[in-house]
Amino acid sequence: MLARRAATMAVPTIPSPACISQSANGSIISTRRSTETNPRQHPSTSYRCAGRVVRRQGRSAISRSGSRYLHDLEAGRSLLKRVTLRRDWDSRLDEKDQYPRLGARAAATFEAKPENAEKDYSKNGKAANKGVDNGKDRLAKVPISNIRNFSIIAHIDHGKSTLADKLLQTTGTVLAREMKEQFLDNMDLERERGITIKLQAARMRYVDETGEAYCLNLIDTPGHVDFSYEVSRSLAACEGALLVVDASQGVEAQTLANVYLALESNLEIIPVLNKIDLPGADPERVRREIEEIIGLDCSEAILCSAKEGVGIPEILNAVVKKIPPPKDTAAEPLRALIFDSYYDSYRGVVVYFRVMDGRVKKGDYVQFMNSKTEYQVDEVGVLSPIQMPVNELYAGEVGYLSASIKSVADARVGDTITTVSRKAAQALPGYQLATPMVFCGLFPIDADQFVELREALEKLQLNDAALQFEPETSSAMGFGFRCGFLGLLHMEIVQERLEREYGLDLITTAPSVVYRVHCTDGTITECSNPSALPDAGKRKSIEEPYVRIELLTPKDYIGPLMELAQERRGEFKEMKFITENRASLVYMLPLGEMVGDFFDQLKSRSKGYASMEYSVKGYRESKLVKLDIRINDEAVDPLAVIVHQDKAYSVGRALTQQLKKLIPRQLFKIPIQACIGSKVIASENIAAMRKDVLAKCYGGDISRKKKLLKKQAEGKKRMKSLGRVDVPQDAFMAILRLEKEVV
Amino acid sequence: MNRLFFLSQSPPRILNSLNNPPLTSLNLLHWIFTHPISRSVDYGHRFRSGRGIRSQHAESATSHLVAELMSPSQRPGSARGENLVLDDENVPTASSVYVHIPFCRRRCFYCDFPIVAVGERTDTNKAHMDAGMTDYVDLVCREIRLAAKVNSSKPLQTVFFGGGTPSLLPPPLLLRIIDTLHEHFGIDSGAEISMEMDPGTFDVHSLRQLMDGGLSRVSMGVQSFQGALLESCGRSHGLSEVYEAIEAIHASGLNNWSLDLISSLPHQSLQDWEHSINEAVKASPAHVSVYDLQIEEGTLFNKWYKPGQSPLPSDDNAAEFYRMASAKLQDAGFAHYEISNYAKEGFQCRHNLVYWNNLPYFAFGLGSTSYIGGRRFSRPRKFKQYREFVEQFESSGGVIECPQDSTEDRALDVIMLSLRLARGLDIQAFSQRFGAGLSTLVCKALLPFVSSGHVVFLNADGDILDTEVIKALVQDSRVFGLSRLSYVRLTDPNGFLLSNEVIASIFSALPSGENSQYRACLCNLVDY
Repeated sequence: MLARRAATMAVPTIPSPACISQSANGSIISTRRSTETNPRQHPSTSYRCAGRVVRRQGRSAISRSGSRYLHDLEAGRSLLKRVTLRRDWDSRLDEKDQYPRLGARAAATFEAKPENAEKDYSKNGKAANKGVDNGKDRLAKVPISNIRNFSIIAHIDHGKSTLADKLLQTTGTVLAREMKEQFLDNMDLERERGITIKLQAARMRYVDETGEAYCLNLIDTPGHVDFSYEVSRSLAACEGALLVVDASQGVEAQTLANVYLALESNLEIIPVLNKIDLPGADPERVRREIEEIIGLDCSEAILCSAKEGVGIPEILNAVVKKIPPPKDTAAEPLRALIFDSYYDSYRGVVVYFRVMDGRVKKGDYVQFMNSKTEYQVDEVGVLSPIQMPVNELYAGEVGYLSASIKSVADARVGDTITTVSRKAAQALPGYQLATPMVFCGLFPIDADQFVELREALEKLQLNDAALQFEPETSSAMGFGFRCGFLGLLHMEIVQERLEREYGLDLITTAPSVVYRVHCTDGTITECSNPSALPDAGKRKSIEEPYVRIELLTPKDYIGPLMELAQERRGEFKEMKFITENRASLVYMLPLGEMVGDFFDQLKSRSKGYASMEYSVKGYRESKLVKLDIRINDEAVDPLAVIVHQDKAYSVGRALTQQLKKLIPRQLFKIPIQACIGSKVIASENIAAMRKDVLAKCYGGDISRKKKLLKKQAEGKKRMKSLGRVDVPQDAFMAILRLEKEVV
Repeated sequence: MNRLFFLSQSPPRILNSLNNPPLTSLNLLHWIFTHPISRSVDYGHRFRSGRGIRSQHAESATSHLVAELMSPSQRPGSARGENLVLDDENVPTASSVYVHIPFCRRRCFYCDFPIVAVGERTDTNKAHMDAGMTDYVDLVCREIRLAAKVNSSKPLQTVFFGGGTPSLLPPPLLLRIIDTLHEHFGIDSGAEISMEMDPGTFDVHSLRQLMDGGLSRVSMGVQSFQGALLESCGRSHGLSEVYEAIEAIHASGLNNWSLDLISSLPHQSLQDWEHSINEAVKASPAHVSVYDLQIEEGTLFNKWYKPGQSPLPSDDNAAEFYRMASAKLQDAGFAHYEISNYAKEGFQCRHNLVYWNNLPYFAFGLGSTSYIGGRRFSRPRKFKQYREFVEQFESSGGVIECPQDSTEDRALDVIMLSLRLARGLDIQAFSQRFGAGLSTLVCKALLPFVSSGHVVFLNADGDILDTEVIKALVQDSRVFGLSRLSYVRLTDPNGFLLSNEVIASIFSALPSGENSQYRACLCNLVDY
């Protein structure tokens, strides 16, 4: 109670230092503006959540809530449409430019100024005072000892994006008039869902109280670490991290996972307690939580409210003081770590990187050490957060380059850039190829859209090295693709982008994981499509991927969550109380059990309070069987599922019962059976259709009757056949949804 | 892309090869329906190129189909203008009239017809009510006069007064309409003049009065022989009025009368229904109509009930009602000549047969639909708009702006209407009118229903053909396979009960606008 009051009391007193430091920075006007706009800028999270929930309603999608999205890191990684941002910026920065798409032209107008600034800087030695132009000084070079590279790590909705906004604003990197909420989340999808899908980087200039100018590079990471590879690359590009924890919610699963990653990369971690302005904020409790759970010293934790602009100068000062500068290795052969890349239709792949050693400039021939491809650099620049070309980047700096690279696959995240003429001896450690973990079939509802779907997938793949697809045909659904995704969020985002940006109507089959099948002839095959599973006679055993899953929950929900994990064949590993009221549960769980509605269940059984994180831990042998669904004595491939032997009966029963409800009556009686091999384990019957007649005559007005019949006929044309049985489109969709729920 | 493919590939292929694979002919058919403009252009020069059209017909069913499906106005080289209506042999002159009398005492809960609820007739509102009805009859008579003037017609064979409750109209007013018809169209001496009557709205005197004026048939809306059921569907009469009305008809000496029932009412049990049919038979009408309750949008029933859910009978029970009616009425000597109509020998409703045979008819009054010159036109369903319509109709000198049915639509009408009849669809007549190709498609679409026992094919001798025989005949690529088939009809009661399913299947098999199946085939051709 006391703490809360203290927090609210603090609010009015803090803005003044903020103003002082900002005026030192020369951006008084923008600061004022930004404070004026504050009331409108709402705590991103709650509003965004609301918007998201509304949007998601009615969709049977697997997930509804935020941290769901934490589940795939890469999901977002390669997906962001940054081209849009770049265009926006080009046009905004040079309003006379009639051809904003031609980035080079807009960019050219910048190049002159930064160089002047650099001269100014060298003359004055210290801070340049340039009023609102100050932001542009960020191109000025500073000594390596004045560079700070850091990222912000947080659980979803703990205010990472809002804090990033405030940092950009306070340093004058983004002027108030250009500011929009969640500045770095510039994809429609990101804004709507309130998540960061694609990460960004921003170079900021900060002048501290002593007048010393610093170059701060903020590397934004997506909130999710479940497939932690790409987040780990981003963190590897930094020397420090701000750990943002919601002062009312406390430590969540992602917070922990993030911190561990940051510690692995030996980062200096600065704890920040955000949202202290909220009535429910309890900084003292959260401070204790961080100390107890993570073991970080929180005596100097910064209290902040990104929304209200409280504590921002303190954060900037802490970044400068606590985070170590990069090592001065500019003389060594070039090694630059790619932490992101995307495809631009005008310039090829644009790579975001951090120079670890050496220097890189325009015109250099560079090699990507893991993909072994070589290109000549067309352009290097910094991200601030728009792309601003510069002549050269050296060790410690963060920036981008474009080199007419054909595909994202040539410049994957984690790869090391070196120069051809002076190659580095060793690539930077930690490179991995992304492997799809979840597969599903994507089929156009309208067979006409098959070509469009293929084109759309090809386009997405240019920008998303992790997306895989191959053509698939199904008697029930026609032509489509079997697509591989990094995880469920990735899958969902790809589906949604296909539907939204490419205007496609899609049917998706139940997601499946990759099984490893040991055959009797000694071979091992990987199988992600139940209908392609080798025959029972040829199989010796099946292995399935397992994940280690950690759930953080208030203690009241431990029971229901344990029940959930047990139902999903979870193997209990450990449970510990991290505070009096909160516990951590660790389970080993088959990934296949998680691709359904696990997350929704987690949220509903814990009334939304539990959070989770998982990582794939390899394959294990399981007693899996293929469950065939036979409709009218014919196996229906898209309905086949791979399930654990013990669950086959219940799944089979549930499926047949639901199918009975969904499949409309036909002319003849239809048996629906669930079988393992030739053994029927569940069976239902749909009675023959009895009556479908319009007996009324409408006094000679047959047009209405005809309209009804035509509508009925139209429905028939869109029927999907399950074996010999025709079902209407919507029933078919319901059947596919059903699988996701039942299995 | 598909369309381009169609335009560039399809026509030459068809014209070059005389033995087309079945898929191509389907594509062509589809193409014809989806490209109404290009067909006259594309085929134009080919048909003008001097080769005899008829000789091609004999060789190729496909090109036969092309010619058949092009209406005269679209046939290249045709001297007729676009506005010319139809060949005379296709549209016989109308000799039937439907007159809508919209007045009812109250609206029944299931009713969505255009009606005007006028309440009970009392001394205080009598004058007002009569004035309103006179006003309406005036309007109808004005419409009749003008319609007779601008359309050629023969003396009327059938006249039908439907409603509403035509028997609410004072007999002199109704007779005025008959007189007007007589004066302007002429009524054949043997014509059937039919009228819907509700129990409680007439007595033997008013009936006699009407019969003297020419009324020859009555269709009485009894609906049910359970007082509770009558009440639950909002009928304005009780059971006693039903029996009084039956007595009045008998007393009047009218033989040709129909008793109308509704099945599948809420709370109706199988016993209730059996009782209603028994009572109906006991009343010894010449004709019985059994309508299955439809829950229409905008009705109270639609607000209260959901089809197939209690208190409405389940689909299975509703089907049982239908079977029972069919069996019991046929036992009692009624022939099941149409899905919902039963008649003693010689007492089929001639006016309704006009509808089912897709023949033209005039229609007058609120919300009524006429079918003249291949144009179906529905009049406004609101009183005010109807008045405006009549005034506009007069001021324009009898012009009704309404598009003519397409060939495709007419084919669908014939299929849909003739399959309602026990006689079924006359395959030969259909082939002649719409082409053997379309006929084949229809027959093919019906094949699955033959094996399931919902449809039977008959040869010229009236024998039911064996499934295998029909298959062989229909699959026969040559045109004369069809000539062995004479009629196709729904079986009673199973086929009738699934008539929508059967007809919708035919509709979906016919190429109309979109047909994803064919397009999917094409898609594959293009992409692989």
